Amino acid sequence: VAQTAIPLDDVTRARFERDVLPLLPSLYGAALRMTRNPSDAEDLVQETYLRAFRGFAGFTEGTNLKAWLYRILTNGYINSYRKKQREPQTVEGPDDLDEWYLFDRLGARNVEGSAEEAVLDRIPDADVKVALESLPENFRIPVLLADVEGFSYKEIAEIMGTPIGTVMSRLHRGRKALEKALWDTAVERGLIDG
Amino acid sequence: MVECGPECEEILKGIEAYLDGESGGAAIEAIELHLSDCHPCMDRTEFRRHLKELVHDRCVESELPPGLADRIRASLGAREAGSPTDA
Repeated sequence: VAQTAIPLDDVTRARFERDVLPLLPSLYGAALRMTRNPSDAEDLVQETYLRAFRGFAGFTEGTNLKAWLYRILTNGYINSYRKKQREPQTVEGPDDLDEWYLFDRLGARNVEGSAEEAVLDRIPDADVKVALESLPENFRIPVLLADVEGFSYKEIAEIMGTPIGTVMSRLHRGRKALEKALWDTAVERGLIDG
Repeated sequence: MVECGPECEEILKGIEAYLDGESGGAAIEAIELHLSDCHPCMDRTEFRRHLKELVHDRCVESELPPGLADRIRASLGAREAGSPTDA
């Protein structure tokens, strides 16, 4: 749905270029983790910039610009790419996973001292990305926003338009699911005996 | 399975918020006091801290597709020049 465009004066336009364009790498990275492919990520980011540009005159300077942009990005993803990618909106979560899923499994393999961390470090970069991307959207987005983008619970609640308690619960369950995905990867890669 | 006492269980419940920088002053104090004296809980905390950093470092994207920034700049310019009618 097209928003009504508010023409930007030169000062506002300059402010947009100064404040919003530098966030492109960070927004593109988040778009990539959301859509899981470079071509959709690029389209999503382009759309986000157009929407932000059109809405920028209505954005109050001094409020949280980064959270505002991520909200546009997240809504754009949920409204178009999720449908396009036919991803089911999973409300059910991995509730039955142990609290300390990964730590306890690594510990049970009798690895000593900092070896638990060492196993993690040996997981290839691409596999960590795949593990994050394997999470259902409801869990992937909060984990992405908290751990990759560094947003606070309150900011994530604003970005996702959900109560803060929902954010905390999804983040918690999402991280457990991520631990399981990382464990499965480590076993598959032969980094540990499963 | 947490191997130490009931106090540990309580402390470990708060570790996620603590590592996220979302704990209040009193909670931070209680957690840090406990961790300074409890190696098993410290190990778990350090493991989670390491995991959180790993997810950040491995999943953050530093490279843009070539020309994307220019394409976005161009699309904003074009939109503005060509859009007075849809205002």
